[in-house]
Amino acid sequence: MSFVRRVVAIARKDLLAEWRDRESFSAMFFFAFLVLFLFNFALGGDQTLIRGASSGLLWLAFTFTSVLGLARSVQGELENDCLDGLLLYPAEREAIYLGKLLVNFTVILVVELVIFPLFAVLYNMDLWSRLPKLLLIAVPGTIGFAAAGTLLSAMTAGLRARDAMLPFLLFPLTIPLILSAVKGTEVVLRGDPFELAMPWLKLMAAFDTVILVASLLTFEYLVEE
Amino acid sequence: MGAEPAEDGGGGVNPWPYILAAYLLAAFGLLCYLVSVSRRTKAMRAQVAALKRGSKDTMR
Amino acid sequence: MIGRGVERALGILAVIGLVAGLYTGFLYAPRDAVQGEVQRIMYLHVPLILVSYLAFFVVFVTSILYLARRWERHDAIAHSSAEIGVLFTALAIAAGSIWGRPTWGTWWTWDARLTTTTILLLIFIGYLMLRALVDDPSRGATFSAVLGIIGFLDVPIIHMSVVWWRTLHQPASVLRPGPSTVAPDMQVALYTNLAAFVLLYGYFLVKRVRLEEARWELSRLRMEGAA
Repeated sequence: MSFVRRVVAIARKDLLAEWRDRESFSAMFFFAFLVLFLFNFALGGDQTLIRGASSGLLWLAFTFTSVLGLARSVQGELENDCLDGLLLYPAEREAIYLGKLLVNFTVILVVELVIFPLFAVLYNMDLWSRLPKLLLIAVPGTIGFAAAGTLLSAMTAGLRARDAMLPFLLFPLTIPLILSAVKGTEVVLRGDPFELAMPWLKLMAAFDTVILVASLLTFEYLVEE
Repeated sequence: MGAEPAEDGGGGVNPWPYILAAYLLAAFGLLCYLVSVSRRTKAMRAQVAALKRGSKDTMR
Repeated sequence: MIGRGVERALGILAVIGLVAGLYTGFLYAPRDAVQGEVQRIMYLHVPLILVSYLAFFVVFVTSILYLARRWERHDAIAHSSAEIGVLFTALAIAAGSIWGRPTWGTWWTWDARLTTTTILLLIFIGYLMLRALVDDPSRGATFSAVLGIIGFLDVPIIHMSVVWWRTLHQPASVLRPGPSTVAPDMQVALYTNLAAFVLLYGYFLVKRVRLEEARWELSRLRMEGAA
């Protein structure tokens, strides 16, 4: 079986597990809706203010909901002692990491694709026409966030304070990513020429490269016994 | 930074409380840390010594 | 194994250095033309920050070495250096804040360097918390090593992103806690204090690594006792 096949096989197994766990999966979406709903009260009902802060609010919603998803996916594995079984599977550790990354990335992307229209409806913004460009910003951001999140969930899965530790480690590390994604999204939402978003895209690409390479090199140390 | 005339920083504000605060805070923090490390090491050494003594006793 | 003599020598040298630093900082260096006396906090703030960067670099290198060789000594140095680094960073930020209040009128500014330093502090506080929460010492060492490597590699990216973010935010007035120019006698004071704090870091590091070594001895004895 080629390397890519192994990655896909691992991803498929995890996706199947996610699908079977539909209830907590949908809990994520309810949480996303709640967060978006709360923005209105947090910003005093000021619709102009909310639309002005939309890029930041969107990414707050993405990151908070994603952390929920990341924690959930590793918890399932831990509860069923699947990790040991997975390690017996004849795959390089990198394949395991990439398979999990693929799943986490997909889950977060789906969450974003749900939050965009929800936000557009709640706060009366036209996001649909700008969706392709928004995704151009969102995808590199999501890759980096999922990459760091996958690595860190492997670290925090067995800890007592797991639910607090994952975001506490993840957020400081991904600040450059969040910062760039918000700035890039701002450019798109204001209708400015896309070149203005290029420096932010470059930053996200730099972050993604560093985090992917570092994770691929170090993941095996995290799962070995 | 600018062609401002020489003046007490902030225009008439006495700088010395701030300077003292910064330096004293740093000294306090560093000393506390030193004391903490020394105390922890002493406690650890005491535990090690106790264990060593204990293993000698079990030879009875 | 660093001997008691070296530890004592480092301690004495550090004290001498700090006294020399205080002298040059307060009596030798001139008063700043723009900020006045309060600028003298720089001789505390800048060395603390620079030495904390050194400390985190040491964490980075020893983390890599630990993953490669699994020598407990590297892990001990990494843990110790991270702890000292967090201490120095926190004190540096506090000193910078106290410096900022009379100078710029605020306790806090979102300038690039201060923001990056705070993020660095958060990352390595997370490092120390991770250590505290993992029960198995060898696992804790491995996880921390990975975090230490990734955290340190992230810092240049964080710095770049925050600088770009700030320049777009405030093109004209970029707040920078620093003197208008660094006159040569100011440089003398700065380098003296820098050397003093490096020595202090070395002294703290040696003492702290000793503590780690005592801890292993304890766990080794406990394991033997249980056998």
